[in-house]
Amino acid sequence: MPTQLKFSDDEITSLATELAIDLSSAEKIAVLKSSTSCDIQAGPGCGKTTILTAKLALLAKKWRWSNRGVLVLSHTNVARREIETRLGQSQSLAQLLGYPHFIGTFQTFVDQFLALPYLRQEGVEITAIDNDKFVARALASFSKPEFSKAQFALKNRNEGLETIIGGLRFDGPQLVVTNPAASNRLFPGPESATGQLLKRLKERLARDGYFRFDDMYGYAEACLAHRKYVISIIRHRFPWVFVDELQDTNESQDRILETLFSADGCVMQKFGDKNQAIFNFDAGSIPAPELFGRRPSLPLSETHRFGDDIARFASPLSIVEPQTLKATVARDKRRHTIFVFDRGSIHRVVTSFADLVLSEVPESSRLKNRVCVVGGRKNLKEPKEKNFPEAIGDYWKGFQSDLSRKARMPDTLYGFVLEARALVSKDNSFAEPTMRITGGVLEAVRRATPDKQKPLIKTRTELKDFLIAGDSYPEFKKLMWDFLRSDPNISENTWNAKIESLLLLLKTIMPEANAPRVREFLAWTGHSESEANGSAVIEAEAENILLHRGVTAEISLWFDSIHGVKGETHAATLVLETFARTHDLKSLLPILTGNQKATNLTSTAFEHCKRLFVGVTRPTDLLCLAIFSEHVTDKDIELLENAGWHIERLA
Amino acid sequence: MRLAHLSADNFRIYGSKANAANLELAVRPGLTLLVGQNDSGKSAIVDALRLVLGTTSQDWLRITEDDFHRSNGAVAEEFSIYCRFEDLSDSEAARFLEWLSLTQGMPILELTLRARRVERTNKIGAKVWMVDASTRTGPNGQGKAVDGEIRSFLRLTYLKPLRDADAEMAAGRGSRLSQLLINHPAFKDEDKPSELPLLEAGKPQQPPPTLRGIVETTDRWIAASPAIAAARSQLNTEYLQKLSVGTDKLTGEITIHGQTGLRSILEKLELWLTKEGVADHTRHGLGLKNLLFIAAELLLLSQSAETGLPLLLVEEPEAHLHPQLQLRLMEFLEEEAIASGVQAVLTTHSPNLASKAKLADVSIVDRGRVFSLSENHTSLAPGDYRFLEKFLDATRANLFFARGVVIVEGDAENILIPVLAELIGASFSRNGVSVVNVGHRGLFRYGRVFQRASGPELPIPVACISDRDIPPDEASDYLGDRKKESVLIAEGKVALLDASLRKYDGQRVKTFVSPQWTLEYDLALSGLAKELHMAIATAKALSEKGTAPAADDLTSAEAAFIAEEAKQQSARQLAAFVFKPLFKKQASKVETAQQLAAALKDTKPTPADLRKKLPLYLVEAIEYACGITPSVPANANPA
Repeated sequence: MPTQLKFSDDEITSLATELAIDLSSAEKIAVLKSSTSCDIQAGPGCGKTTILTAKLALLAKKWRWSNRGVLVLSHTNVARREIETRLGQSQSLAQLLGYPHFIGTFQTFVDQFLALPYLRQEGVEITAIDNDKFVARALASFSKPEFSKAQFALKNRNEGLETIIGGLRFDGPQLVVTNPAASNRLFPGPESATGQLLKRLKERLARDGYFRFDDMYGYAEACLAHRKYVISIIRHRFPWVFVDELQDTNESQDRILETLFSADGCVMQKFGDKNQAIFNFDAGSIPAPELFGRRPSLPLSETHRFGDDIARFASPLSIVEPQTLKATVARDKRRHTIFVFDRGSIHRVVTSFADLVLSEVPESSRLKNRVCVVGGRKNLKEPKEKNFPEAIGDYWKGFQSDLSRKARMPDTLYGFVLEARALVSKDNSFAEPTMRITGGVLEAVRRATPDKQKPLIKTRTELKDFLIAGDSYPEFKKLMWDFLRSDPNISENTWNAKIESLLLLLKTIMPEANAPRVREFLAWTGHSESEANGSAVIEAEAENILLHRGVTAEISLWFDSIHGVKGETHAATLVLETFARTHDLKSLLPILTGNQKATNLTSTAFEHCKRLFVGVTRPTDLLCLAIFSEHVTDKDIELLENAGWHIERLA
Repeated sequence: MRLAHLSADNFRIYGSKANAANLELAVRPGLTLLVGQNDSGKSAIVDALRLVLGTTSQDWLRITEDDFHRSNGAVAEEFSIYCRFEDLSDSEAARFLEWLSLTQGMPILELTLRARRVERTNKIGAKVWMVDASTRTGPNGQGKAVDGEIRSFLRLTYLKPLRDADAEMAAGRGSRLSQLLINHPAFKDEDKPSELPLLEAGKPQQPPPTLRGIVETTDRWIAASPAIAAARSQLNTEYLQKLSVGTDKLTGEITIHGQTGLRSILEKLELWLTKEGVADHTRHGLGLKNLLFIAAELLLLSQSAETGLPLLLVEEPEAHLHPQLQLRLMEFLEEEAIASGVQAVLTTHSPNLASKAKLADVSIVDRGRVFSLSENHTSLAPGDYRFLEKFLDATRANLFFARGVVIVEGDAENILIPVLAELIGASFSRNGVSVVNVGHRGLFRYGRVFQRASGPELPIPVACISDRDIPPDEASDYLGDRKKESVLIAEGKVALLDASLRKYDGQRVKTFVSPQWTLEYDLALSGLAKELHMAIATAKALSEKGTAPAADDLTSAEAAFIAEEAKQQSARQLAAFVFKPLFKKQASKVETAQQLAAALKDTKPTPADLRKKLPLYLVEAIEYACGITPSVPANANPA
């Protein structure tokens, strides 16, 4: 039985040699040997991914079942790729990357094993599972006269139509229609006229085949409820389950995990840091459920990210599952500083920090990792003077709060082509870039389809089949090649000529090719040569970066919300005080000064504390905070100095 | 898990679902036996399975242009083959998790192979065609494609017809035997090297524990043997080194085991028959070798699921086998293999095999249509299945292979009617008609096995030949207790009796009833009175004396007939006279029939002449069974 596999000390020792890592501490050995369901409480920089990979390696060496496998679930593609890369490095580990094992994101897991098979069986035709496409379609459908009552009712809501309508989703096994604003008391309930109209809209969109990614979770739960036999089959197939980043698990994911894997024949081990269970104010995503105490917890508290001093600052801020972090790497003592500023000097916080970094942090560290400035709050709809300082923007005027890190879909085919060309120079291959352009072509087809109908071609495979059947595939490929050629840029005339050829190839699947929204999409939007080349790169990687010129050197500072830097390692980090119901740093001063243990916090302060914990555990070399002078007393200052902080007042 | 259903659209002889011409086969849980004439569509079924699942012997079946259905000169652009597996255990479902269809009650595995024919003009302007095929799972083939990962778990074991067991069981590169053995769980660790165990005092030397160890040890001994060493040395020093150029000296080695690996060891093994443990190197016939071959294949079948499905597909398992062995093989398949979880689909031309199978497991394939004989597909009552199975021995089982069937109620008919048929130019053998003697007309109900509960008719004409069995008044002087016709008419029972004779009619099953009394009586009535009389006389003599009648007896019998004839009575009275000895059981009906048949053959009548002398119902029955449209009526029956 796979769950009865045991690992000896010798096996662990030889693994450590083979992977060239240290697996000697009692903590790590306990995690590696454990074969019962449990949580692994891994503090920041404590080698969670390394230990997880080591455990997978131990399993891989002993795995002899052809119809059962190991399941590894993570929340982001970044985390998934991290694990895949490490496993891909050795022959014996690489077998875990294929059948019967599964390493992927939660989304892909629920899609492939639960939601899509269920939808297929129910005969539901899928046009697109994509948030952006859903939002566009939802807003378009919502604008129809039959929804006028709801249009009126929701007109002036704070959240905005894009959030409400674009965020309509199916929740839970009953597929209840809900949206991000629904948790607000003042939002119309499901029984109201508006609620009924929203339900109708969502069902209409589903009938047309448009879904959000998170709808798949609803369908997955419906599958588990209506096809109960799937549960025992999945348990049989995946007797070992690893969940990465457990603190990012939302309610639906949690329900699914518990339904599937909380049984005797399964070992489910969740890795993560409960103390970093923060959610994003700005995006309104669903908060994590209560993660406490369901199962035994094994700690990993030896960090190799930062030294003892930062560890001592951070440990008191671990409030969900208090953990004393120990440094395993000796780091030089640095001047970890709290900048105390007033209304006039707030703009000097960042520059003072930059100068401090240049003097304290060696270049070698700065070359390895970024220097970041973070805060709890990125943006505010309506700033209020009395809540100063409120958000990152207060510290730096140049901060743009609505740049998302994800590359958004371009609004023109030309934009797709530019992105694709940028990819060519980056990867030196044509595979990804061609896929990018065909993505744009599919978008054109979608736009050229009358609203009531489904696009005749929805996927790249269908497009290819269509072209082959019409004997025009070679021509299409030539067009792609022309778009990507390293020749400089496409002039307006050339572009229009190519578009006409493209339209000829696709005319049978683009019934409304002449509609304005299609023509807009296909129009040439390029600028002059040099701009065309450079602008693509910037658009694809939107960042807030400030270049600071110090006395002896230059330094780039990356700005982001704390939520945005989850999981990152920085050379140096500055955490700015911001406001959300209360001022975060102010409310946590008692803990920072050592006056109070992290108990009896208000729920707001609780959230602030977790967020601050994430922020202060990013840097390897230097940690700084910025607090408004009106929030600290002299006594506080004394206590902070005693605790090891340097204080710098900015007048 | 078991294969539950196979269907195909526009594949070979099978047309499209829209025209109700596609293939639909409900595969039986144990054995499915397909019978049918050549070109009926049996091989298409076999190949459909091979295409969609693949075989363990890795013989690759290419899709060619003639796999696409043709009708009215048009070739289909696309064909599809679909199969469905049910009853998956948790372990099996876990294996196929990503590919399952999640139906309401249980998970099933559906595979749909779609092949498209695309015509292209190549560089020199010639039309070439290409096949684009893919196999996907899920409802309507919309799910995940079947990829390399699970292909190996879906392969079935296929044994082709007219197997050359010699070739299959011989040693050699890629031998079938090596394929079978390497996949057998017992051979899992045989690849590991091992040494000769230490010699224990007083005990004989034990061999190394693994095959590889044995072979490597043997190789060392071989290499060390003086003979081999001498040959090697001479080869190398006197020849190879002298043939070498430059510094690279060629050297040779003589061993069993050239390459490493368990497979190369297994490829050197042969499988052959022994006689009670003693080596028997006489060359055996193909038949026994075939059995050996089948046994070897079965060895692997019911083992672990790692190497494919426990699904056996055999065409003509009877090949080269004597009927007794055929029966034994069938029994074995049913009682052993299937009982241990193997599912088998067989095609056969052998009535021996068909007689051994359960009726419900048989499907008749006829010109691109499959007719399952299981309980809910025929009109045969469920209770009758058991009896019909016992009734169907190898002789009678040929009714499944017939183009037309004649069911009779006695041995006499069984002997006589085929002869009559041949003599009127409707030879049963030339028309593929089988005669089945059910012994008693109550068993005509077995004809219902040819009637369908629903769907298209089985296009096999079944003629039941029956006696009306109402004695004419003209025979009243010897009838005894039997009620004569006029009495029965008065009692109003005639219509009922007549109707009851036809109660098993329907679809292509038709009962042909003698117009008056019995076969013999009506033969006499219609024009064979004298011939019958002489035959009866001969038969009578045989039963009385035990020997063939003397010439005198025959003459006097003939005289008796002429005398009776001269009385100028009605034909019915004459017929009654002729029939009397039979009624009184003074002569055997069977013997009579044989005599009559022989006599008729000797006279060599022309078909037209004989027709005139036969009762209409017989001619009609014969022509119906032969699928001949009725010709000029034989004889208006003089009442």
